[in-house]
Amino acid sequence: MILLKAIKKTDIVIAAVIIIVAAATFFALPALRQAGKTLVITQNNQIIGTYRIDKDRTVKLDGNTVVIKGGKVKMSTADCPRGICRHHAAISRKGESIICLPHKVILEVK
Amino acid sequence: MKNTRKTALFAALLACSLVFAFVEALFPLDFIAPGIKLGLANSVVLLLVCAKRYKTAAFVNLCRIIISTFLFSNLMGLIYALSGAFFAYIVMFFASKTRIFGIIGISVLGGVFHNAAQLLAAYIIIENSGVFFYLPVLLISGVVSGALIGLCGAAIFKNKNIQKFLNANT
Repeated sequence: MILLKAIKKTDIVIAAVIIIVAAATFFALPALRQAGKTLVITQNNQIIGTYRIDKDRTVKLDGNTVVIKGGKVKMSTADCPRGICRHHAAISRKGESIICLPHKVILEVK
Repeated sequence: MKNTRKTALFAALLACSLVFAFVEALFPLDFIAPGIKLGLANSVVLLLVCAKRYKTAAFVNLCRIIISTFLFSNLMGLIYALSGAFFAYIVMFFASKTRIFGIIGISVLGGVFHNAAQLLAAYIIIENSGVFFYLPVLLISGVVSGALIGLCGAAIFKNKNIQKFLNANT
């Protein structure tokens, strides 16, 4: 109770302001990512191939198919049980990645 | 105040801060995000700032960063820790001078700017803008830990003996 008196109004204000800034930063972050140049496909920790994103093409792997179209990368088919990688949104910026865990395939934009 | 008393007081406060740093080092929260701390060691600096003993606070801050980094961390971390503590002190100094913030507000500002400055230092050193993805977490953790330490500090600061010990100039 005595401690509550130690809290001044400005204290609460500054804490709230900082929390709002944190939230704003959190939502603004995805916009910071720079456009990617190449796609690196890794399977089982080994690099299978590197492809430029600005050229449309289809890459067929064992149980997955990768489609590069319009500057974006998507996993078009995958025969893994839950198909999470298929449902992932198209990636196009540096650092973004789509991972197919069962097949140990990683699509990463660099 | 006599010089010997000043020295003894400073040494006692510095030792206190280092013990807090040791306790903190026992429970690293680094798994949440790099650089997340409770900021316990800063409580001594916070109390000194609120007691308006600004020079002592600055000196304790500087010494505890250097010593605790050598004791509980590695040399590479020194740059980050120093920049964090430096900015935190500047902000706490002005926050205290302006008199609009209570001890909790000062602690929150200190914690937040400590984290923010460390992040900025990391960006300058490794030049990878990916570090800013940690900004939201660090800001929130700065508020939380700042508030907690501020509450502890408020409780301690109320004690008249502590105020005498710190030679508070309120």
